[in-house]
Amino acid sequence: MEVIQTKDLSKQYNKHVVLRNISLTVNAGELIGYIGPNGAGKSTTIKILCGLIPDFTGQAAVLGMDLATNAIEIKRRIGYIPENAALYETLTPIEYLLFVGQLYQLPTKPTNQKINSLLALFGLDHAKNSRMATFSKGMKQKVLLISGMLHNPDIIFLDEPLSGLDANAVILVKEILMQLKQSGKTIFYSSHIMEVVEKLSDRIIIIDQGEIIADGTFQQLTEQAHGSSLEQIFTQLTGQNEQVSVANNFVDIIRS
Amino acid sequence: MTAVLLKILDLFKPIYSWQGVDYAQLRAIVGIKLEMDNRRPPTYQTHRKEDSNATFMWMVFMYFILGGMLAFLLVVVPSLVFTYSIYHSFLMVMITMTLVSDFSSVLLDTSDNTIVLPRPISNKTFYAARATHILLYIGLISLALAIGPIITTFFIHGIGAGLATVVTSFLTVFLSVALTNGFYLLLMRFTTEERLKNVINYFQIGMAILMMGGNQILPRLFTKPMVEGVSSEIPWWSLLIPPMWMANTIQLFKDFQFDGIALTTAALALLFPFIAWWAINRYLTPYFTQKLADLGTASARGTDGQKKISSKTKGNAWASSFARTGLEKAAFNLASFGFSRDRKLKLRIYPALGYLIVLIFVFIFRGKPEETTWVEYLANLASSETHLIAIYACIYLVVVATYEIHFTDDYKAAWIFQSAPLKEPGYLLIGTMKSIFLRFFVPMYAATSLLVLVIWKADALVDLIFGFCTSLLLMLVMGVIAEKQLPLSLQPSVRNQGGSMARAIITFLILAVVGGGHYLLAKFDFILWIACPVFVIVSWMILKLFEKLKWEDIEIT
Repeated sequence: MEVIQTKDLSKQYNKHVVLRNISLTVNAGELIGYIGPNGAGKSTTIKILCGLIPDFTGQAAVLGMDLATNAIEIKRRIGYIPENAALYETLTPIEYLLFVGQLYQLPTKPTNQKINSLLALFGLDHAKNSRMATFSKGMKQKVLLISGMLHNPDIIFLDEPLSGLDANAVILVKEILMQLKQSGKTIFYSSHIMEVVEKLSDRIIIIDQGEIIADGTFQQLTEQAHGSSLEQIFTQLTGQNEQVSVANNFVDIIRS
Repeated sequence: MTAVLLKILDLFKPIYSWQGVDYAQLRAIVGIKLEMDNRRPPTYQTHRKEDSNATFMWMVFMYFILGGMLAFLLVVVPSLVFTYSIYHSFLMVMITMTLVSDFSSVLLDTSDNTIVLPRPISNKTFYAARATHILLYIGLISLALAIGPIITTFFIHGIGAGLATVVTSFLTVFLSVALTNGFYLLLMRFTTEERLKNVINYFQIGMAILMMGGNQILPRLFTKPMVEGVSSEIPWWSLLIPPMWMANTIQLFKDFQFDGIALTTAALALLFPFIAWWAINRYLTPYFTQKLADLGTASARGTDGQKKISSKTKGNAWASSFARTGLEKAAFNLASFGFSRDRKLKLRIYPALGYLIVLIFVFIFRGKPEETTWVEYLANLASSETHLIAIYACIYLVVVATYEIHFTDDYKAAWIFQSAPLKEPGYLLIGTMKSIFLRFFVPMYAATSLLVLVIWKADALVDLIFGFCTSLLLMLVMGVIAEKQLPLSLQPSVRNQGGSMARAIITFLILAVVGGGHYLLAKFDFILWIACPVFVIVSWMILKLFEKLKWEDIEIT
């Protein structure tokens, strides 16, 4: 069953095209890795699918509902975890998460318990009543993870969930994604860490300059691009395989 | 306090529900926003506490006190039109400045885009929450400012004038919001995000000066004889300024004298705010939502967002003529760039400059008796030694700048000083001091000198030159005594707030001693002339000491 389906999805800012005719399908229970160079349009795609950018062209349906007309109903059933740890830093984790719960109109008491046990589970018990302005990137990311899943969504979108995390936190997030998938959730995430995407994803979608240039399982990608690792396939497909000569020139100029 | 406001808001729940707004969500958003207002340090308050829970309530209280001062003005000064136009101007300026300087972060907030918009919330509810928050915010500060004057009006001018004041106060606030809104929209329409931030920065600096200078200037208005001399007739030019319309309207409702001008201004007072609001909505708002959605997105910034700065900037040219070694030039340029580009640094330093100017004027012109003319007063002034205060006040700016240049949000970048193979870190301090001296002291001192020369004529020349040499020496001596830290290397949160008061007191004590010495020597010009070269030589020797500083002498955190 398809839970995400887009057809010719496009978006431009002031005549600058960010996305061009994106057509993709995601089935229920799939774990999708969405990769591409900086500025390729990863965040924009995710934001459109989460209903944050309403003025796109083309068609997009999430959970069988049209994104153009049913955005609020869709938002109720999906979770979004943004990049750059965007949250209100003057609030404490408890205050922030309760606020998010209120926006989803979750019942206060059980939500409060849920928040407390989740914070304790993530080892944030000692910090749950201090302002998040002093938190490290990893701590903020944990709060964001909770805030995006508090309402038990069917699909979870994560924009760069691993950037800036330490090794232990990366393992934790990876494990959470795996477990969520096993419990039947659909996950759509973007990342720059090729090794993780290669191991974790059921399917990998590569986007470059606003267009999808590859879509398939890791196996299929290796056959399509004749590479043994995702890193090789990625540089080959995105036309960045001149990196070796750039590095060469760099060293030459430094030494001159 | 937030809880009380939310309780009041609960009364309007049926209206929201009737409008199709989800009240529970709206309440959550407005509540969290008010709570954050209370924790956001106000920009004009330089001595801020990091963890305050009541900044907003404190501000409301300050505004209430200011309103009380205005109410006092209404009582003591008889001319109704004059005092009420002052009151309305003040209301207008305060609301506008608060909106621009303090509330800009709320108006231009894009974090809502990623935090609130992903949730299942309708556009109607979202915008209603935003509008409600802004209304509550402005309503509270307006109420705090206006409540004193309004009650006073009921007592001294009767019910008619009192009711009129309630209406005109509301209209003034409404007009201020409309004009500020229009100002923003205009800026956003025609300039880049970066320039918008610069303009807001200048407003914040202006606000800080107003807050500090206001309590110096406002009480002085009471004694001016011009206040009593203002006739109660309405002059024709009052047709041009909104606060005058408001004041005229109140006069109208007190005396019930309906003449042409009075009716015209009353009509303007009533209609203009709505016309302005309509025009702004009609012509500027369509661009706003578009622009706000684009704020903060990389693609919207595009190429024109990245300001190109030519490599031959003023800093470089200055540095090559005043700084000698490469290291000195580096520090000179770094400090100069900080002073001209770091908005927060500017916000900490420039208000001191404004305050200084206000203080100098207050000191020089405060003692004018009412029966003397300005010419006589200035002639008397020239025979006094008051100019010494102006001369030595200038170094206050150097003290502030010297302290503040250490702090920046990008303090982590200071690793470069430690990783680079620098043998003589003293040159970094010399370059910084030279930058401060040239950027702040020299222009300020030149302007002061001009004022002093106009009033005191050539007699003051020796004082000016001696004052310059003394200030130079004083700056270096203070540099030797103070903790030696590198420019732009400390995080702002470690700024010692208690210390700033102590610093100011010590500075003023030193200045009092030096100025007092100068005062005693003022009769012996030849001593002053001899002292000048001596001071310069000593300064030069201290500079040599700085060159020999070792890394152990410099404090690094």
